[in-house]
Amino acid sequence: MVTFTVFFCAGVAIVAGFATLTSLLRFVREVSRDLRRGSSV
Amino acid sequence: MKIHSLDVVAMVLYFAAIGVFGYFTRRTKTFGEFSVGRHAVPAVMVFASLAATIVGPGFSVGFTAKAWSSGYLFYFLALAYSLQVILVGLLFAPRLSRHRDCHSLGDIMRKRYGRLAHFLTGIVSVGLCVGFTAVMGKVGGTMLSAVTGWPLDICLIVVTGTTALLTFTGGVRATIATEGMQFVLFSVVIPVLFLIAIYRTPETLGALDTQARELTRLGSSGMTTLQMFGVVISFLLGEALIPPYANRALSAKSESASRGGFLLAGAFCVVWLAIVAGLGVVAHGLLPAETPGDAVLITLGAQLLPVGVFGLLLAALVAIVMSSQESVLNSGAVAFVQDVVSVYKRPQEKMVLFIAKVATLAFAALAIYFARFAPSIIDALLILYSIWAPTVLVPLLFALWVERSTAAAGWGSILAGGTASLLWQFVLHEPRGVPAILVGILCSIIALGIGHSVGKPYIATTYSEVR
Repeated sequence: MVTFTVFFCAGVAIVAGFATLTSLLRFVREVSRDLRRGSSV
Repeated sequence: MKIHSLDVVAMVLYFAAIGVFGYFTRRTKTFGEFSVGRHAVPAVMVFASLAATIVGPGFSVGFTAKAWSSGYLFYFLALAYSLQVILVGLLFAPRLSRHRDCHSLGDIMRKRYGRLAHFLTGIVSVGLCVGFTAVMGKVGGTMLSAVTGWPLDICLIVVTGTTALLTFTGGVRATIATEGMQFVLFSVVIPVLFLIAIYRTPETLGALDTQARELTRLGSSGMTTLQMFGVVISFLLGEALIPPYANRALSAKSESASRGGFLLAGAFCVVWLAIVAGLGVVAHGLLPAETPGDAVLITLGAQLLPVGVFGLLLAALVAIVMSSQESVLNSGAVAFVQDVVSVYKRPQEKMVLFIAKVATLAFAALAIYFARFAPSIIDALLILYSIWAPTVLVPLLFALWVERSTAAAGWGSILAGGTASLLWQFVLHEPRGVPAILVGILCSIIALGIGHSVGKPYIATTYSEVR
């Protein structure tokens, strides 16, 4: 039971990692666009 | 340890990706950008950055080592840490985010308690950040030394020096972007290692459960209830709202982004710690009993992961150290500029940014020096915890909920709590096993109460006017 729960946790962490990747790419795009514009936002 | 050339390629590719991210997100023009990213960071990035900072060497390699010897005991104790992050997310982080005119914790302390509390907060924050950087650097350096065979001094310089170079040009948004990348890597690679370990172990799930229970029982029989209580208190309060976490709340684009980021990070801790602890338990079916605890995670990776993927695991472990170091270095530099240098007279904007960047490099150099003398990671972290919570934490939490207080409440609480904690720990050597952090917090609360009741009310209009 304990090991199965941790097994489930591993799945959740992997999904969280991949899900964050999308937001990360958007964030980097926004920051680099701001920098290109010359604004300091 | 022998590393295959494909593993080296995987590591190089990873660091190249970090370099590309760096290229797109670095360059800072103002101190506001460097310190709080102009308060424009979304919830998911607050979460990823917080999680990457929280998951340091202690919450990865160290936790697997603990589970190797004492099962899930430390997992249950460390749930207090997840609870702390969740409580901060619910009660305090959104309140921090309201202070749009603040760059640091010292700024908030100044609004409620005046200059002396601001300055003391700065001193404690800087000392704490340098200490954390040294501890992380030592762990990273030791790991690198074990893998490459290079001398420890060189490895300390490589790990902390690289982090400092990444941090000093970019400021908080660049740090958050790099940490996001690091988060993605380790949150995928290490759970994959766990799944492979489950698949490859000769034990059944039932046998693993029995082994986990036995190890946990053995671990808990080696600790008194008071000792366990001390560990829980340290996990609960020791790192609460330390500068790098507070900076994430201040950088968030809104109160809800701040709250969401902290809540997700707290929930992630519950999941993550279960995985790294699970690795320590499952390893019993795969590694010889004499394997040193600190080597379990890496040895397991070397044994189970295919060539190339093991390189990613090594990169993930380096990322774990670097992501925590980056945040702490950035926060230390911000605290130095904002809470120490600028307390009485603020230099011009360009000079402020310049000092922040130079401070980043200087603190890295100091941390490399101190790392050589740092005690073991857990001892060093417990010392740092016993300084932070009794000094800044109590008046800070009070400041977030109370509109007006007195200057004496602020500086009195910091000095009384800090002095009591240090005396209890280093002069009296924790009589009856009562943890110093507990005594310090108690004295801090008493001093805050007295100062708040009898002191002269501190009146600050707005932060910019106070300056």
